[in-house]
Amino acid sequence: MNTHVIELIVNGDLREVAVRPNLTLLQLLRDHLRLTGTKHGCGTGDCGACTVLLDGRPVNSCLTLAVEARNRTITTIEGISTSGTTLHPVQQAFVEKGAVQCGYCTPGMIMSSVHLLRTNPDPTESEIRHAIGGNICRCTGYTKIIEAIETAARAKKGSGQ
Amino acid sequence: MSLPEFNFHSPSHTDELFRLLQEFGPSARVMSGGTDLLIALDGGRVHYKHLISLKEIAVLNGLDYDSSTGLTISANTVLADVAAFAPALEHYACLVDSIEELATVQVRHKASVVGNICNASPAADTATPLMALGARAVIIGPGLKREISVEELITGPGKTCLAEYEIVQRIIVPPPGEHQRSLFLKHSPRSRVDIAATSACISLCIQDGVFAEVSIFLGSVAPRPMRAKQAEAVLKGKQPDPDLLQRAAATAGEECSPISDLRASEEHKRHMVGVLIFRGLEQLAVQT
Repeated sequence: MNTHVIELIVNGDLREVAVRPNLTLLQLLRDHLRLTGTKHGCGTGDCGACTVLLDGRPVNSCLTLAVEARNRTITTIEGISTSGTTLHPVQQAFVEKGAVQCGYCTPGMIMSSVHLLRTNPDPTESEIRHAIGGNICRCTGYTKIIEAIETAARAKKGSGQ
Repeated sequence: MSLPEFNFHSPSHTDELFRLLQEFGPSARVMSGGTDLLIALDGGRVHYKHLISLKEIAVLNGLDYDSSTGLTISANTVLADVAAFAPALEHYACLVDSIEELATVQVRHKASVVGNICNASPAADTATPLMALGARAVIIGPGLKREISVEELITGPGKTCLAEYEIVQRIIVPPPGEHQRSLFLKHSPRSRVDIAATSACISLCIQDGVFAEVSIFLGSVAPRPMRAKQAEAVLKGKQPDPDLLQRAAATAGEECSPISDLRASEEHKRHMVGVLIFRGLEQLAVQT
C-alpha cells in the first residue's frame, strides 16, 4: 500500500502529513491531528456527525479519503470561530436556543448550518430542514435546532455580515 | 469505517489514466466522488487493489450549456453544481429535481452525476431524467472515443457497457424542444434522502391538442432504469383526458418488473408506479 505525503490547510494552518490510502479524512482529523470535535457516527455517510467543510463545501469526512484532501482547505468545528475566544454566531444561537442535548450531532449540524447561511443568508424553515436533512439528531426532535439556525440567520442579517 | 488496503493513484492526464487501467485491469477502479464505492469497499461487497482518482484530470472537469449543444456535464462535476447551475434550473427542471431528491447535501457536494450513472443502480435518481431527456454519454479509452445513449450505457444492476479501460468523459443532454415539458417523481419510505422505492421521469410534448412526443422512464422497478414503452404507446397521438391518463398509468404499473425488497413489496411498487405516472401526466397536461 503506497503512502502519500500530502499538504492540506486545516482551520487555517498548513499541515504536512503522511497518509495511507485507506485512511479517511475523519480518521486523519480525529486520530492524527487530534481534532476530535468532528464526530464518528455511522461511518456510512448517513448521519452527518462527521460533516466538515472541504474547500467550503459540506462533505461527510467518513466518505472522503485523507489523500483526497491533498492541497485542499478543511474547516472543522474547531475552526469556524474567527477569534478563537468567542463563539461563531451559529454556535452562539445553538447555546441560546438550547439546541444541544447529548451534543453528539452538534458539530456536524453546525457545519451544515454554517454552509447554509453562507449560501442562503435568509433561509425558509423548509430550506433549513432540507439543508440539515443529512444530519441526524436523536435527542432534540429538531425544533430547537431549526430555531437556532433561524436565530443565527437573523443575527447575521442584523450585524450586516 | 475500516477500509481494506489498496493503492491510490491520481493521474493528471488521460494518457496516464489509460496506462494505469490497462496495467491493473480488473483490480483497478476509477473514482470521482467515491461516496458509493468506499461504502462497498468497507462492506466487502467489492475488492480492488487500486483506486484511480479522476479529480486531477483537467479535461474531466466542467459544466457548460449552450442552446445548440445543450447541457454538458463532465465526469467530475458534482451533483450540487448541476442543481445550482442556472441553465439547468431553467431548461432541465426534472434533472435538478432528481438531484434535490438524491441523498443528502453532503453527498451531493462530493458525488458526481457521471458516477451516479456509472454506478448503474436501478434506483439511480439521475438516470431516469437523463434517459427521458435523451442524454448521451461520451466514452473515452486509449485511442478511442465513442458516444452512446445513457439508456444503452446501463446494462444491469451495477453493470455498464464500459470496457475495463474506458470511462465516461462527459454526458451531453440535448437542448429541450420548444414545447417539451418534463418532471421527476419519487416515492420512498422517507421523503428525500432515502433510496427510491419507485421513481419516474416523464418528458412530453403536446402539439395540436395531442401527445406528440412522450418519453417515460421508471426507476427501482426493473433490473435497470426502464422505458415504459407500452404506456408511451397508449398516449401517443391521443388527446389528454383523465381516462387516457389512467390507462397509461395502469399500463406502466403492469409493464414494469419490480421485486419485493426492504423498501416496498412488488405489489406496492406497481401501484405506486401507476400513482406517480398519473400524477405526473396530469400535472404536465395542465402545464402544456
